[in-house]
Amino acid sequence: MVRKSSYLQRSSLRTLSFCLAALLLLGCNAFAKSSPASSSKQSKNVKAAVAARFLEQSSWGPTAATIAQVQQGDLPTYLQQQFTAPISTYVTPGPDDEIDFVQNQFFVNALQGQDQLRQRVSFALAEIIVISGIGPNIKSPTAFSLWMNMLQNDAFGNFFNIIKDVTLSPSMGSYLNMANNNGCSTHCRPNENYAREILQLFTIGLYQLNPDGTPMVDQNGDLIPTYGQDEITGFGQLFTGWTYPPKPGKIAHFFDGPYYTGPMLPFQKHYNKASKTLLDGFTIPGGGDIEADLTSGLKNIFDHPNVGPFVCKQLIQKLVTSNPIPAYVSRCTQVFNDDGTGVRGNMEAVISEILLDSEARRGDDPSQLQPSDGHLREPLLHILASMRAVNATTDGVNLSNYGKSMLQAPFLSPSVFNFYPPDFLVSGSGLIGPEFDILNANTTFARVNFINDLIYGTVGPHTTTDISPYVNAAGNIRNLLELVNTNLMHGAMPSDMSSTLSATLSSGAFTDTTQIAQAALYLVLTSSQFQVQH
Amino acid sequence: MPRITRRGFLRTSCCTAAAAGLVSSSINRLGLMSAYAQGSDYKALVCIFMFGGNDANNTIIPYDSAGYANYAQIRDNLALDQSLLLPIQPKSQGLPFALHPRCLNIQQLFNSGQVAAVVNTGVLPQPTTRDQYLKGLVPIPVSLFSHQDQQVQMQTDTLQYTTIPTVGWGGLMADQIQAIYGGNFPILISLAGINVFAQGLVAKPLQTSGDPTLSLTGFSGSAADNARLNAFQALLTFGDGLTLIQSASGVTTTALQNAQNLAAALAGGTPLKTRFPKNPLAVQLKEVAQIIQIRSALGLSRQIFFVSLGGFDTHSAQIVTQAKLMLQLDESLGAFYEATNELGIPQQILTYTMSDFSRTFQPDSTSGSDHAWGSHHLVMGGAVVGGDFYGTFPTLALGGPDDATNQGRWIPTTPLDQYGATLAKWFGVPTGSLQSIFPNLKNFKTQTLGFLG
Repeated sequence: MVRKSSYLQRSSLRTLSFCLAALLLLGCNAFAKSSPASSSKQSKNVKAAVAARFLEQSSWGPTAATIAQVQQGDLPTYLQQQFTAPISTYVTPGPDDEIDFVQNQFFVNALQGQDQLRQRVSFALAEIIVISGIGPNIKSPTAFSLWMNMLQNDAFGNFFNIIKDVTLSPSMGSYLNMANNNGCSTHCRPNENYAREILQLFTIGLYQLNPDGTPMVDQNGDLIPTYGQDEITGFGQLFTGWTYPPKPGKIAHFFDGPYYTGPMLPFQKHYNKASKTLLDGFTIPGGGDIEADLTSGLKNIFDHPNVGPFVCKQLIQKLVTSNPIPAYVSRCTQVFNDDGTGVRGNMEAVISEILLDSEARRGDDPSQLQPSDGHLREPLLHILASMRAVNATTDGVNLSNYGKSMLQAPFLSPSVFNFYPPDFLVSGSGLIGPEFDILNANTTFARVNFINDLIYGTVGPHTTTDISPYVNAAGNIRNLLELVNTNLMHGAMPSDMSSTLSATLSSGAFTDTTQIAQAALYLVLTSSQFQVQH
Repeated sequence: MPRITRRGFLRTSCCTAAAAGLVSSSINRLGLMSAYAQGSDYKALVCIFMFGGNDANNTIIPYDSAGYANYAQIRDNLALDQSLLLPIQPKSQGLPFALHPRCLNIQQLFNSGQVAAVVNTGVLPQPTTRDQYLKGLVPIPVSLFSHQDQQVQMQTDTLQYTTIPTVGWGGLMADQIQAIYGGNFPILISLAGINVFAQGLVAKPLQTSGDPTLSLTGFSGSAADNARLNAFQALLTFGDGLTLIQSASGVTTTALQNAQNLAAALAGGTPLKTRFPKNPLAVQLKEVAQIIQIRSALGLSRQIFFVSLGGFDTHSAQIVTQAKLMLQLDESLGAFYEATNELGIPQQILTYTMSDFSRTFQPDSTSGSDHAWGSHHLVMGGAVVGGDFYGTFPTLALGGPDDATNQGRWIPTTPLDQYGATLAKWFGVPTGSLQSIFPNLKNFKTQTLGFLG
């Protein structure tokens, strides 16, 4: 699929959303029959395997129900539904709640929420723009529920709004110290923590990038830094003068303690008065207005040509593949830079492009897979996709412990550098595999043993599974394998794998259809063929 | 030079295992005589990485009145109270210094000569002055002051690159000595997960974030379980044509083998009596000591360990956070040194610290400090010529001769190369090979520092 057909222009998106809203009221059949996206080259009656693969990329894992949902229309139509699906809002923790209250909601939402794409994208954003409960800075679990609500609300909006909301979020203000960063000029100097990480990790990275995500080099073949210490100092000065919003009924004062509801508030008096050196020679004159300066400083970052390729490549890596070809990143960057209506940073358009691009869809035909394709499911995706495949319901309790055992407890990244870096090179492979950074001698078994607990035991006191569709199919090994293949491996199970499974399951070692179904699920969910989504 | 006595060896290997009936199997596996033969030549390097960038300026502090007054004036609200500091008198220094108030064990070991400090060390391509730095006259490490880059540079000593280096100096040391000292088990063990330090061109580390003997659960030996296990293992051999699938299977396959071998060897060991505190670093160091104990069963006479403690990125509320971390470091080091005594080979185990970088001498506006460069590090072991500083202590002046900026980011006066080469040479890396591991050595007058004699 070429870009033209894979990417709908913004005006048509708006019309489409309107139509969809109207059609959804009429019920799914009407919607499927008259989908306005039928002009797309996507064929209707999407094959179950193709729908499953699309859901591997755009949800926490396919279920029989979501596969059917995608099959009712086509891929762009499903995306439109997802853009407007009701948001799984995080409930604010009570005064006695700890972070597990928010972690549990993460699992509940991911298993049961209708807004699967929004959750995947906002979680991906939360892994690029990281806050964490590890470390002393964030004092309340509320910081995380409000943070996730903010990212979920912003996920399909404009990237400028994302970085503006992030910058003024008290959660981030706590974590990277922009809250109460005093613009002092003598005997101390502004904190540089947020200044450094918003540039290095959240928006542009350390080096100048080509639109296709590859690094630019100078005439000596060296990388070209995007900024130096002067710019860090400048942004450190820019990010001064903001404090926490006041508690209800109180008046805000600079140096107030943490409170997480609402954006941070400006205090001109505590804003650094020096002129500020920002990116690419842009300078903000000294003595300016704190709010106006912040907007122009964030604009300075947002307009940097690195933002498109930087954000695109990482989102592609999280959703589709660890090693996207440069042309794929380049197409995404084009959409980031201009959604077709002259708007930069339209995330809805960017996500559509990422998921509908010909490179994302190539593997819908398994014969078109290439050796460098795929990405290791990160632990939380491994947990959730497996649970969704066996129709699990949960209150979330205990699931974070499994995440932790695989080095990915929600909201508890070891540092602002996320659970794993985007550029981790897999030993001996020549390929990038970010998630492999946390696949070690211990976590590899934690991942497998989780499946053992899921299939043969229990993973939480109030978590249930329902494998009856597989048990019902297990009277005929071929039918069982076909069902497992579609739901768990989007029909791409290689022949050596299916013949081994077939021989094992029909060997007579298993006494009944439950045992056969359990063994099939265990073997597929623990396999590298499943764990490496492709 | 072996400090181990027959009686000491027997004591450590039998007493607590006697009840479990492990004695004979343990001795059989070890092969008592060969244990001595190997034990006498055994050496271990234990790297403790302090992730986030430890503030060395509050780890070692000038203690003379003028030095402390200067420190206190610039450090302002980050200045530690002089009355709480733990004084030390490095042999080669005219003036007294002090350690962070939580470093009681380190103070004691410094005074008794088992700990030394390498001061103002860091990643540095060649000798560099402030003037040369500011005028851009000399090469500097790429992306200076970035966590990720300085972590990688400290672990690889590769300071200029266009893609992140994939081989570390721990791995390169292992490559050099593997043929002589290696066994059937990885020489390198990281208990802090995957880190580039441990990657060799040839040597493949065991890397774990938890119990290194963890393996598959849920297999009872029944016919059904055996059939499932066989299929599980068969699937690990299928590639599906995708490189990353093969890589993932490779991790599991290797881990199965290592976990099995390690569990078998550890079954022949005895729990150490040394009491370790419960902090995350101590947990790793306890595991290290336990693995060193069964070194002969693993067939290894050289080992390299990588452990870590995180949380040092103290941009705010530094006083409280660093105090907690220093206490954890100090108690862990104290316990680990005691364990090396219990093992009877304190001379053969060398523990040392690394970190991303140090932190700005000038505080920031949130009672913390920001990313800087040259740092002070500790080496601990019976072989250390301790009680002293190695390298040149920086001039603690903003915009002074050692400051790369005006906020107190010390340009290292001792390169990582010399620090690492001293350790590598002691470990058995041939002098002629040091350069291949520490490529900037050629730019400095001496290859090694004197802290290992």
